[in-house]
Amino acid sequence: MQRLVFALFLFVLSFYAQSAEDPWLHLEKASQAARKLSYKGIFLYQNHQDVRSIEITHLNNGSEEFARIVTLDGKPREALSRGNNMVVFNPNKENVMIQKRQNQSLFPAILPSDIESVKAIYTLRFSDQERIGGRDAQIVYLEPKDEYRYLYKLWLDKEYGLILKMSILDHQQKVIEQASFNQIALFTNQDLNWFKPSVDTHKKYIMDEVSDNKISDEKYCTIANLPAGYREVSHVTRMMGNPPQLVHQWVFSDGLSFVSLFVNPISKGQKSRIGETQVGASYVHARVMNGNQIMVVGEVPQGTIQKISNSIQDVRAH
Amino acid sequence: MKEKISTLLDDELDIKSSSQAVSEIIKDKRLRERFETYQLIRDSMNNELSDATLSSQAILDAIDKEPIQIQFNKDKKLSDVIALSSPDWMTWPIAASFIAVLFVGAMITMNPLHMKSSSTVEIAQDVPNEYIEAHQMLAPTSVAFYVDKEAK
Repeated sequence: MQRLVFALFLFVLSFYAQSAEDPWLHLEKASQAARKLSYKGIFLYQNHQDVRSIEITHLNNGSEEFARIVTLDGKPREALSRGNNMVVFNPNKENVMIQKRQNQSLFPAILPSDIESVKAIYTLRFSDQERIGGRDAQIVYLEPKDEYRYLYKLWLDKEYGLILKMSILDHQQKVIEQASFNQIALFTNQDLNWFKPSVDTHKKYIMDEVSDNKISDEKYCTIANLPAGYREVSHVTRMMGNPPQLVHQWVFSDGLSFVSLFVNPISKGQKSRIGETQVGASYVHARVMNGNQIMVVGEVPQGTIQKISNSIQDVRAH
Repeated sequence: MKEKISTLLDDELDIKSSSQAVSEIIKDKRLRERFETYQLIRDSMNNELSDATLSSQAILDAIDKEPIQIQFNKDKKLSDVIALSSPDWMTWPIAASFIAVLFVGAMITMNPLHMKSSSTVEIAQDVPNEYIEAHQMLAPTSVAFYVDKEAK
């Protein structure tokens, strides 16, 4: 316990000493605080018309991270994560669907661990101070250097750096996504009694492995001229549709937002899809190239989706 | 291989096939990853996280070290078959989920496509939910996690 308190003290002190020199250290501190501190709180998450309360418990015992995230409104849903592995429990009447996910960057851990990528594409601006969830917070703006990403307004805990509130705003200052702690507390207790799902253990469990993603390094098409800062995070192939067919999926990220690009040959008799649409905070763009269906999905400005769709220079003809 | 695992879990494989299946589970990275998931689920359900001996690496080490003891009692489960130190290593709900994987996978691939007479469709009229879902599975964002798929 004493060691943990001392580590917490050093964590605060080290950033306090440096933050006077480089304003980006505040952001680095925010990034690390979400992963290194142990905290429990309830925040309100808003996306489009959808608002819900979420309870988060996060523990870092010095070597590993544990988190339990529970949706308090609407359908009971919860997730347990240990390190990079996350298991999502979706109980329904008869059974519990279990889904595996990896490498989550959920609020308040929305910043990448290495903020260098963010520095290249955003300008950092300090603003006023406000109280959030009973804590004093410093408001900072991450202003995009180009039109390919949204503006981030962050409320950083003045003492620990943890992100207490975030607003993602579009070019017209309209809120795309928002999350804000109503209450938050740090803790030093390391027991893991809370790390279990409150689901009916008598129900059947079903592993919801939607499809078998296979990591791919096949050069199926040439991708060039991505929007600045976007890098390939993963490339997988999976079977989708009916009749099932092989679909290539690339995920690109600028460190804060994520976009998926799908390419698959259109089989005989199958309809092709074109056009653009918005689903919640996501934009979807579809077009056809050389007999291939190109589909782009992401929570980014419409222009980014279009540019990523147009980044395919060459694709195998079908 | 999936079929083999489910059959193994059902205790319906013969000696030779069981032995092969167990060896393949040990060798296959994807299957081992699955163990890791089940371990997380099991640990969290049983609240056994403090027991360091149950880490997946420890399980794999145990598999490597100990001789494979194939038993053919109908009541025995996979935990007995691969002779793990933890007797309740895999319980039926988790074992059943292996089989569920096959079932869910089959259901998804069998899902009928809404075919229309026209060969080209505007996505605004027919939202490509399967692509949005696939995106959300791999994009580790808050939207993907906290919001139910609105277009469903």
